[in-house]
Amino acid sequence: MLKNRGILKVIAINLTLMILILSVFYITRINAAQPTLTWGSRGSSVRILQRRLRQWGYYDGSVDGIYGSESYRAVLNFQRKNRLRVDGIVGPQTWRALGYRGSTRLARTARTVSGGAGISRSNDIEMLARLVHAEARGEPFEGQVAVAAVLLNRVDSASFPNSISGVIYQPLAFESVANGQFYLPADSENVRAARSALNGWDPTHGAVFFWNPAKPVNRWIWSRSIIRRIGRHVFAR
Amino acid sequence: MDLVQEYYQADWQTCLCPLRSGIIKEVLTIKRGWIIPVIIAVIVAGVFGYWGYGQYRAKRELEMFMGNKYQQSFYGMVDHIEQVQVLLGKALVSSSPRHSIMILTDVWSHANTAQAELNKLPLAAQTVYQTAKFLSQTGDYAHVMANQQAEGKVMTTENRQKLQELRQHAIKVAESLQDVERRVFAGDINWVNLVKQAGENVREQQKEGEPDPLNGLEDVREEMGKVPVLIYDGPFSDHVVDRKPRGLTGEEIDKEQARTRARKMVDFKEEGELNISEGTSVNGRITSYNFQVKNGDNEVYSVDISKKGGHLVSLLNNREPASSKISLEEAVDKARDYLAINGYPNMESTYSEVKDNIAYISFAYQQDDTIFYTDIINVQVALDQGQILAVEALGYLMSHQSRELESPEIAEEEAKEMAQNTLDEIENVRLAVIPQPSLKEVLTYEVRGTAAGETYLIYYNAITGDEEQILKVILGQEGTFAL
Repeated sequence: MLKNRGILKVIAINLTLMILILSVFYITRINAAQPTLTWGSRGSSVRILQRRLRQWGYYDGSVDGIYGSESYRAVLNFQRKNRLRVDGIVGPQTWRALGYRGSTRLARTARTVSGGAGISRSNDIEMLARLVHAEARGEPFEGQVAVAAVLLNRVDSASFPNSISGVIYQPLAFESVANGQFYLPADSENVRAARSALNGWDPTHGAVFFWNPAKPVNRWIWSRSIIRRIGRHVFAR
Repeated sequence: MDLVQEYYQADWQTCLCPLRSGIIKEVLTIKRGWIIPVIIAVIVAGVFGYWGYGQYRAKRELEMFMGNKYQQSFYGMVDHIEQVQVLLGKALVSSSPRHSIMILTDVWSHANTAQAELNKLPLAAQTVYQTAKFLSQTGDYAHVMANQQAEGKVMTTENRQKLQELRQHAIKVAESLQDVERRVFAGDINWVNLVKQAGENVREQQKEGEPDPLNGLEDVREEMGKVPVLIYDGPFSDHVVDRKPRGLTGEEIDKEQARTRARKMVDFKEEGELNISEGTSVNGRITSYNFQVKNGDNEVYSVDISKKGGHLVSLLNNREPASSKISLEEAVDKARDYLAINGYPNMESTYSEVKDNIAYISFAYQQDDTIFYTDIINVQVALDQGQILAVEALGYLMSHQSRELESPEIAEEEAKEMAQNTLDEIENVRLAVIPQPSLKEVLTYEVRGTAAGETYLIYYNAITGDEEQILKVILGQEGTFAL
């Protein structure tokens, strides 16, 4: 389930970090596992338990990291309310009800996975660069970065598909994809423009449309708010 | 006419009397001038006809195939939108948090899929733009509600009203789409023709301003115009899109002052005769002046200087360095110095990547041992001359402000202990402020460690102890970056 929704989820949730920290991010959500606690347990896990019980109004005592009688009563109360076994033992079930993962360790099935296995940014860069080549060949370098940035802004926008390939292959979106120009190889300047956009450069400050005013375009497009003009292209939100 | 008849008679006789072939031959030689072209014409017409029919069939097959793909997306979209509205209804009557979370997560999934299907249809941006946004926001909103319930928070009346509103819009959209569905089913809408007309439409609309040929979708568009602004804790919230810069300090400056600033920011190694353009306006998130600064070698810097405060927003040079002479460490030092001189002190490098003789370095603002991943500046350094090729400070200027540092309620040791549950080895712990999807800033402990040979960064909320974020560090050929 995680895998299937992974791509959408990553983009939806982490959009901001994506732009701000660096390039593309894949985030795996794993809850930290908590050990089983009983009367007398001590340590940070007990503090987490006490803090959560206090947040939810089950516990009035101090967050001292010691599982004493007050904590015990609070746990019993919590377990009763949540129809768990009322035993005062904070095991996997109780941790889950508290919103934490209860088992001791994560299953490590992916032992063979090393370093950056199965992850590559070069596909994205290559695709972006080819679109830049097809749409903005002969434009100033800044204009090329701008075209790549518009593409990435579309990925981040609620109104457009949520992946680079989705945006590129959206029907009627890019003339160069419809007429096959997109399949021509990119040159090194296009590649650097693509890489710059992926690394955060956006001369358009968030534009999602660009067009050549000298060519016939849909009238609606002119209703968008124009940000700037670079070379032959106008960029707009 | 007569000649042809005569020929056919002769021909008919040939078949019956092979002995008289000599005479026939004579006839043929006489008539050859007529016959050969006719035969050739017939053959050519036949071949072309056969070939053309093949082409026609292949084209029809392809069109049918394409049309079917579009139909599939269309029906898929309608189904998913119907699911969205039904599930939103269920979410509103559910009183069990556990079940409600499941339902809201399903809303999110169906809305996203519907958006993806919509974007596969051959429709112009103006037709789908608003609807796609509505679907993204509805899904996102449901997702945020699910997340809140998972944190133990109860849905407020306001939240419920919003969900109710979104549901009403979804119902209207589904109804309009059912009209379109009927027309699609009756064959009135042909997706492939839409693709073919796309180019022509552009020109026609330019002249006459014709409405979209798809009336039903026009209704959807109208409905979407009524969707109110949605502000909530998600990445597609309207406040994220329309945010205002927080880091712009200082007075408005005029174009001449900006020009002087731009002149100071460029980092040419050989200036020669410097040529600075007149300057144009950029009406982006940060309104700025843009200058093109060219040296004698035709090397061009494009420089954006903010109108308010005269901050460097962006710098971009088109030169491609041919060799590497300095190390990444030297490049990082040069970039840090450059930033400090030009109004951005206290920047710490976080990630870097070297490609084609250029170092791409990311800097984050640091204050009292706390790193702010919200305030990011990216720099490109040419490794041949140590020249600053490009700077991008838009992100920094959007978010940076003077802040009162919160003090953590969790001890560093606790964060470490939590991480030890899942990580094999812990390499480093420090305080970091990270942005949430809604741009809210959260003080966390950043724990760097390894699990099964892979490096991860885990972020624990320094106030509540909740796990906020996990990043996977990739040590690739292209450099170190986090995913």
